[in-house]
Amino acid sequence: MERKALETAGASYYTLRGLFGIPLGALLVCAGLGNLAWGPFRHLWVFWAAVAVVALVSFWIMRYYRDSYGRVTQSRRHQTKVAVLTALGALMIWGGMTLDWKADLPVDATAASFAAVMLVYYAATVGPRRHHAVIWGSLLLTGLVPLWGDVSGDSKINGGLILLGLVTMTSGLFDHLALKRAFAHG
Amino acid sequence: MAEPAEGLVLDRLIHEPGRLAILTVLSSVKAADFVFLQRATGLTKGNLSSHLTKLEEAALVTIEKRFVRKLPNTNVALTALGRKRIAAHWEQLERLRSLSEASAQPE
Repeated sequence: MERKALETAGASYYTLRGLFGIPLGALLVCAGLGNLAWGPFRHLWVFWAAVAVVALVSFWIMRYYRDSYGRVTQSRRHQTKVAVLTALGALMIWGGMTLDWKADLPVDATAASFAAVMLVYYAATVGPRRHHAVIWGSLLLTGLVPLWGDVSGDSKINGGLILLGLVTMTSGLFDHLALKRAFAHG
Repeated sequence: MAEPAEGLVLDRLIHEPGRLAILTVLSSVKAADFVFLQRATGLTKGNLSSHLTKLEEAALVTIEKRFVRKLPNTNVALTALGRKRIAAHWEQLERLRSLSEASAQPE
């Protein structure tokens, strides 16, 4: 590894544990389909069953990363940066959802705000990477294309959740592959 | 033979590539365990263990042996001295690179 890669190894590991994105993305898709009362997802118990499965799978993933890649305690500076980015991101996504709910705009602000938050988060923690630009950039453009005018606020938010889930899973897969490449030797 | 530039002395303990990699990884985190250091540096268990012993003897790192889920776990952190020495070492390397680039410029 080069100097920069060694200096950012801790932060990269923390951010690129992408397998977590797969159950999280699946849960977002379940939430979106449930809110739209689509097929079996209209039953509330299906969502809670999905929450239980996601919790179990996330626990296995955490153990896999700890056993395979070890444990890192981030510096206070990095922890503060992540906390600030998370708080600002949550505010921005809440703003996007409120906009979709209250204003009749031809864009999907839920999807666009989430994509913008993720792009900023990745850029600030591990530096811009091509797959983040392609995956989250595509979601940002999809949200900002003015084709959402005839869609109700409810459908926009839930459609946005489903898109977010799919993108979170895809990005997570690519993050995990990037982590494997970054920590491969020989 | 030209005299070395004033103050340009490399720290031999830190300059060894394995130890330089360990200290550089630790410089950006609060602590990391043995498994993470092995993954990040690509060193073998034996080499990593030997380098950590040397760094601990020089008071550049602290090593805490503990049990996590009933399994032994070795946690490593940089000391204040270690943080100062690795920063100074990278500064020296940057100076050396600048001098080398300056001397390679055509007159």
